[in-house]
Amino acid sequence: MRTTGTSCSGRGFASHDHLCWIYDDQQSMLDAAREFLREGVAMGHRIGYIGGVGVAQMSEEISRMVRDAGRPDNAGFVADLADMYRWDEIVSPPGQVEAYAAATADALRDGFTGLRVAADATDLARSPAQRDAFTRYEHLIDRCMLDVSFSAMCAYDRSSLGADAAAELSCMHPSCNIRLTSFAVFAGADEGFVLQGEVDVVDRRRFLTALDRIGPAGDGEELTIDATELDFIDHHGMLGLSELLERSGRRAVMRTRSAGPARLAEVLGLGQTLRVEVVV
Amino acid sequence: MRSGAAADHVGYFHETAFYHSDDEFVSVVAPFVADGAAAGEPTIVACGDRNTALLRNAVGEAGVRYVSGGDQYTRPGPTIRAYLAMFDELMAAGAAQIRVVGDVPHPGVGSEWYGWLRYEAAVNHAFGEYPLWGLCPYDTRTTPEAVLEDVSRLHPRVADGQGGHHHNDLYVDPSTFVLDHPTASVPDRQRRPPMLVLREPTAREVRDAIRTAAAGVLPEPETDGILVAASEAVANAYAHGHAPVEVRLWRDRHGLVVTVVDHGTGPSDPLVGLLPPDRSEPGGRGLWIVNQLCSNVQIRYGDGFHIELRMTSESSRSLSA
Repeated sequence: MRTTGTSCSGRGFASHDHLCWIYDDQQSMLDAAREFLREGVAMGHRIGYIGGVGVAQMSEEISRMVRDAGRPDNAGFVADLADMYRWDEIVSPPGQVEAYAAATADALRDGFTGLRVAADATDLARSPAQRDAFTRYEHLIDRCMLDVSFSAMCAYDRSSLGADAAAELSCMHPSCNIRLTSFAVFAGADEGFVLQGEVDVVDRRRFLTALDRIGPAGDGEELTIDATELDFIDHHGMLGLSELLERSGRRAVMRTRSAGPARLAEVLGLGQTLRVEVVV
Repeated sequence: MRSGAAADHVGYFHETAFYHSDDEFVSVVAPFVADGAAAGEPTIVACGDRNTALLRNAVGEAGVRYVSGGDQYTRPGPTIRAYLAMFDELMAAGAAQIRVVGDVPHPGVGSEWYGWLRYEAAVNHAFGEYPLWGLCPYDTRTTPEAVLEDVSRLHPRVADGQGGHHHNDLYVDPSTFVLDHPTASVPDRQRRPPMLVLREPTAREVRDAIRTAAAGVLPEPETDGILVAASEAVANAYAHGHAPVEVRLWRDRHGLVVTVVDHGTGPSDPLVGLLPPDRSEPGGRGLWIVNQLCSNVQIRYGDGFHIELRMTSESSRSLSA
């Protein structure tokens, strides 16, 4: 079971967790990254920080963490985004995911229990085109984390990106330090996804954009939408889900606690693509 | 090829008949049913128990689908949706004409009328594309005079007891009729102060208020239904109405009443919400859902647009049936 919801620190995350950290001041983000990575060391993971800001400071801290825990030098690393990407580079989502999957495999081969990374990805999400690619990547890497021992904290500077961009990025994460959208959508079991919070007029546009970016994974006939922590969805949200499925020729079973989505699916005649099961 | 009086008609042949006795009911309706069955047309009887028994006796079972009028005419929105699903199925099976005779509820049989008035008006449009012959007979012994007057305005055709089928000169445009025919009276509960008034609320604030108010009054599925309906009505008010939007909430032992008021002119077609969404104006889908989910929906024009949603645990039982 992954950690979901909001968290005010970088502590308490397990080896498949995916945390978004929206920050306005750099030091608070670095504090959270430090907490996140320190627990990674304690869990026997290889840890790394990728920035963005604070690379020099984190380099020292990671060396100290690794040394204090009695781990070998290759238990920690630091990388500077500026050395890895051109300033306006649009990341290739599958390429990024392959790279992290390979890095996780390397960590396991080197005797670690997994890989944990804190990354300030602000510079990779500045333009709309970058953000479009990066949010797609966020979802793919989120799905990858379900299967491999890789956990990450993705930090974004709201004061630099703006609130809208920060909201677009944060809603694709299972956990977050501040929820900027009324909903969250992230990878779930059976090639499906998890939908939490509320979907109504407030964040309708963001929800439809997020759905477009996640797309259905894999090629199974029926995927699962875990909506057991979804407090509300309106008919636009239900139609958005149904259209996503239709576009890809898929069907889904949506598990909810409330009867509302089932009534909407019935009234809107969505049963062919979107079957709703009320679970208690 | 359609049989009978509707043979040359395109679309919905919406007919009423007024009868004063059981014999007269049989003389008007039995040939309608028997001829449909004989022509091999899907023929549906959705009448009350007494009239159903009269027709079974007169026409028999062969070629006739008897459904319970009580089950068919639960609430206007779901009734229209159920009929549309039935018609689509019958059309897919190749029906040349579908015949339906139904006892539409009214105060004479214990139902409030305004919703069914809107139903009778809306079906002229909602069923308009189907090769349907619908007969709505009304019993003049039990139907209030004012209802008979409305019925005579809402059916473009009228049948007599001698086998005659006539144009009804009293028929008027259904949307205009409903616009000119406001809700009969302000519900009593509107006359006492609401338990809560929310000015310019978000849909979420409305949901929170409803969740609190529904506790101990409505079961969970009905609470979920009114949460969806009220959210849709509030979203509609902000999207299509004018500020300020106000939500008023009443609670009694039967359930909840939520009124959403905006200061716009309201939808130009008062029947929106009872017409299938792809045929209505923008915003129609939300009002269609509201009409599907609530126990009762009333709309009022004048001093802004009011939509009143009522959810009771009693009628919600038939909702989930």
